[in-house]
Amino acid sequence: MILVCIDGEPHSKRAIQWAIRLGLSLPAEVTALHVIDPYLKKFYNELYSQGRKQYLEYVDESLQGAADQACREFTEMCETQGLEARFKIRHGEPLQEILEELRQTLPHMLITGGKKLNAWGRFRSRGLPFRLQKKADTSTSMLSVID
Amino acid sequence: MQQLKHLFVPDWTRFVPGFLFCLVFAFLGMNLDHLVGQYHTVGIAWATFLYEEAQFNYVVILLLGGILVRNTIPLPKTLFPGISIARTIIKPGIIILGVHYVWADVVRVGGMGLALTAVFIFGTAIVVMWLCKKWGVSDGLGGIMGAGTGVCGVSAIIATSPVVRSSPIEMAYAIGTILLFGTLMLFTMPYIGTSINLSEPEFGGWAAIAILNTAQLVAAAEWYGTEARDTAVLINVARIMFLPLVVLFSVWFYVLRTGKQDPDHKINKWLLVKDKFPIFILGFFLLVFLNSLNIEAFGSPRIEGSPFWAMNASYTWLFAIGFSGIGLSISIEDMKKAGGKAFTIGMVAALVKMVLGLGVILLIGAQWLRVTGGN
Repeated sequence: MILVCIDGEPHSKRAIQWAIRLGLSLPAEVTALHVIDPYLKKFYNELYSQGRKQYLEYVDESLQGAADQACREFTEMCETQGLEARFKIRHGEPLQEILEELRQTLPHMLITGGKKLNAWGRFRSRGLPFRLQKKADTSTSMLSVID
Repeated sequence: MQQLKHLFVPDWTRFVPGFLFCLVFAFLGMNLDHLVGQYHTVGIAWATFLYEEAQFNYVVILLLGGILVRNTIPLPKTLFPGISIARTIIKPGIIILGVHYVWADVVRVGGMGLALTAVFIFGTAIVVMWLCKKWGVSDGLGGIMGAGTGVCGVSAIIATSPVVRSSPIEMAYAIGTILLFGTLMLFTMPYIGTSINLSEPEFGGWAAIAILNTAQLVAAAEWYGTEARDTAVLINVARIMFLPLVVLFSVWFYVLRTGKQDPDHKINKWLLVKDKFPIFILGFFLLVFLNSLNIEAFGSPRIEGSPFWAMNASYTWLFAIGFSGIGLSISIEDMKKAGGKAFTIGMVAALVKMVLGLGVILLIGAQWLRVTGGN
């Protein structure tokens, strides 16, 4: 089984293309994982913030919208290539959720997408693919597709 | 008993651990401040350095201590909800500060504050939104950066993002940028103010129009001194009164003007203004009103044992709990999310407001910005 992590960003598309290519050639089952990160919700209690309820509802709605969009793009790409694949959503901190998914499903391969980052970019993102490689179980092969 | 239950949110217990943590943190910070003060009084060199040169007081102890704890010790997640609500304890503190003012202050300093706010705060919002539109920045990002750099930082982003339909990534960039520059301004402006001999009322005015985020604004002014705080709080009240108007302007600028309104979801402008109005400032003005009446039974902050004196004595503790919450909420991970076009917009807006704001404040002078409290 191949697990591909997607976030709707352009670099995710490259990761999906690789997952489809490998899924068809091996052949192997492909599952896409999209993590809904509720990070933005923690700011709702900011001093002087007004319209907290509307903000929380809007964050939920827009995060779900982004997940739906990612699902649509993934499904379309798979259907075009004639591959049947699954789409899964998890809620929480992305690194923790991907690790949990790896623990539960034990895929043979994990594919992530990424951007070529400068020093500041690497400092900011702390490289999710890199952190995954450090923390994940070594029985899963990892492929990081850099756009 | 059943009626009492309605006073609490259903899951109120999740706020208890973090809030208690902030209480203990505030207690330790206040006592450390007291201890350093005592050592300074008896002439111990390092305490004098901290007190005089580094300007350490309870504000900076709680903020720096909070940032240090938050970013070096892996705090249990159970503490975060309580830490998050501790910040809002500053609000009752600000209401209580109403006893420091009389109407003459509100008219003079608040009037000046309204004029400054109209020019700087509303001006920033309009200019940023207009420039973003001109340079092809998305409406979602331009709207929240205009409101965020103009009015009250993250609070304004929270109020505006649903209206201009910002995407999650735009919100993360904008919040990270505001927090980054708000925090940088908090820790640099008091030292700049001291180095150029800015008086306390002048610094209060400068902080109130320049610092991007409100929590950091209150902290910087309290750090600088009591007169700086009194001026900053009054102008800040004028500033946040503009929040509903800026949201309304965003609706007009991005939705109504361009004909993008969904016919099935017509925007109720009155409801929008009502929802975004900061009701707590009415409490502040009520206390200003009562203080201005000079009623003997209420006394004043200077009459020991009087109700207003007791209220004034409690505000420092409310601020201390709030500053603990602010310090413990400042995460480097959050600020690292600053980026993209939001970073450039935020940096330019922060620098322009800092420089222009300082120039205007120096032109106005301390006389127009000093809160007398009826003295």
